[in-house]
Amino acid sequence: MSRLAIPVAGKTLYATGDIKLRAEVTLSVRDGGGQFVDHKFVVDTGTEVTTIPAYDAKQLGLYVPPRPANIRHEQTGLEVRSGMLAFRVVGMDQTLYAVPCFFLGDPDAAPTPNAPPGSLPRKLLQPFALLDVLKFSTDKDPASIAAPHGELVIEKR
Amino acid sequence: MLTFPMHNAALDLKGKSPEELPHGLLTVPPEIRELVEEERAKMRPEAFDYNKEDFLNRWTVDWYFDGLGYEVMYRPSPDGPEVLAVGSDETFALKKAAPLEKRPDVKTYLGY
Repeated sequence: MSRLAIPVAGKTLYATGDIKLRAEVTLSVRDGGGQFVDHKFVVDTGTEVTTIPAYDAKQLGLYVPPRPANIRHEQTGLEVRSGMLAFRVVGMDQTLYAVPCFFLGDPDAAPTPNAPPGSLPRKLLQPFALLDVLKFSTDKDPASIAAPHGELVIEKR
Repeated sequence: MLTFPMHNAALDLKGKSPEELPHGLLTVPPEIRELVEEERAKMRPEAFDYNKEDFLNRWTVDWYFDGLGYEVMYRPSPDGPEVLAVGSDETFALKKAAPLEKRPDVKTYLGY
């Protein structure tokens, strides 16, 4: 069985001193030419749909619909194009997975540096879309030296 | 003893394009060295030793790039991180020039 344990990463919020926790996974995304390119994603159950900047999707050569959907992404206000993302999980076996994905923002322009942080497109992986094929769990072993904040475990079913 | 809020470098770098942002070996700020030292008291010695270099490098990159929204690729070292690429265009170029298996020592940071 293919299994990957990802340490939860912690970092300080400089404004308050609180510790922010997250788990990130590196996906080997299949591009338009059938090659694989690594992209790191935040694993985020709150995103509802996996997202990637439309500009990155276009650089990958993925099919990006020419016209955006008739909605805006609520969290960022960016235009939405619906597509699919096919990938392998780096650190696991060579199985190819696919999830629905929103391409956020303008596919022809990199996000402007003056954009408010809340309006920047992010790479977020919605794990629930993969539950037929992958199991996600969290754990913390007090004896672990590599994962002081615990870990996200991904297992192939 | 650290006090909050702290004024990290990224606050002064907002609005700059990826090519204008710091590249090369970053200076580790004293605040990050202190944050790392504070971790020493929170974990077992072997856990601190295992994670110390990762904390130093990842948090230094975070000090400079937190909230800027860019992907950053860097090479960690005991002296601090060496930034190799910032933003979509530079990171794509780096990935194209060297596939993942040819850069096992290069880490990726998401600035959001």
